[in-house]
Amino acid sequence: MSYQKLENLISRFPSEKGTLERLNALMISDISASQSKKQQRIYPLARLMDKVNPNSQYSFIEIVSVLVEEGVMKRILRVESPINQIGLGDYDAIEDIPKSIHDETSDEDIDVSPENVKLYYKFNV
Amino acid sequence: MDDLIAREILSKYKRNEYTGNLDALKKDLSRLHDNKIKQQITDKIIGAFELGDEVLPPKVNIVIHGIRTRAEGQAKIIQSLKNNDLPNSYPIQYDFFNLFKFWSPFFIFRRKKIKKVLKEIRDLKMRYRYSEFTIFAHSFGTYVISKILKEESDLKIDNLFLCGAIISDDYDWSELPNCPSLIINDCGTRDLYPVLAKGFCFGYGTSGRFGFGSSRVTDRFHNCGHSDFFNDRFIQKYLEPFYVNNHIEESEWTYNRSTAPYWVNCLASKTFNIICILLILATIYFI
Repeated sequence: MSYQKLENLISRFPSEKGTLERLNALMISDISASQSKKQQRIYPLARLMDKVNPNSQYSFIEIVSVLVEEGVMKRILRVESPINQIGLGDYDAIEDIPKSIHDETSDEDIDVSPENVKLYYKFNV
Repeated sequence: MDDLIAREILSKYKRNEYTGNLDALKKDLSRLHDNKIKQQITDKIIGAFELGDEVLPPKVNIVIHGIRTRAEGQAKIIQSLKNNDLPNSYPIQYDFFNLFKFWSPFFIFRRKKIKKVLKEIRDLKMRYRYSEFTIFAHSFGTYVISKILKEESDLKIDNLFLCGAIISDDYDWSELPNCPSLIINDCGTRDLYPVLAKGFCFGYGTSGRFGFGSSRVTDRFHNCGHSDFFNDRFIQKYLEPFYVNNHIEESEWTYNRSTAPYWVNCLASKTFNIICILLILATIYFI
């Protein structure tokens, strides 16, 4: 992200200065990796948190929300199988998620509940 | 309006109303008009299902001190809050406020303190947009927060704890645009300061000695003086149960307290207040 954007975020979340710098470094490494491998990394929320180690989970969710609003990141809502956590479908918005979805691993239609929906993020290249 | 709906959605999540019920969550989120807010709340709820309540807006506590201190007593409450896993607890301080400025009929001195405290509260409200806010106020801090609640119609404080209050006795809580859901008024039956404040000054009251007697406020009486609210015993017995267990501990003294001496009631009367102020003004004029 641009220097100005990073500085704005740091002034808004001063206690997460380290987090933002690590997130920025992660984004830079992702962009160069995606350019060479033509493949982009997608991070589950928990994994992203592990990588940047924020001081507060609440502040981190606020930060990624801001980054998604500003187009730096893209957020994906993934419905996962309750049996083996395999992704069954990716959606941009919660209203797009269907009431039920076919789980190929169990060959059953499952009712989607909020517990089966997970947040994934990727950097917009 | 969206802010209220957002807070309602977060409360419903905490009551497990969305567990196994995506339709209910989608229906409530669809009531939000602002897409940004919708996305923020979606992220918080879905994130909370995955990672737990750490993702949700934390509870925020504010402690506002009284006059003639630099808030040494605040530190004890802040320490207790942080020891009980409430790290988002903030003392709001204003400069040392001497007796003349406290007494002064020129309310400009009070206005400056009110403005400073309001600015800090608004800043915290912006940073913790959907959080539950609790304010602990003592003495002049109670006067400050009473003015803020009356004048700032958009400001919502969820819980308010007053001690050594010098708010006017006829303060109408029911007329507040956003009355706190819980108001506890801890009164000291040996606290002379509210009585002196009312007797000798402009615009204060004895609510910290005699209570409000309002259905919106729980008056809790203690056999103590003005500064006794900041000792460890009081904090552990009467404040901690609230922020640890959401429990309001009753004070037996409320039901066993004795009647105030006649001279205290005289000091607290409006007649005495008017006579006093006229005498003080006359003295100042003739000096």
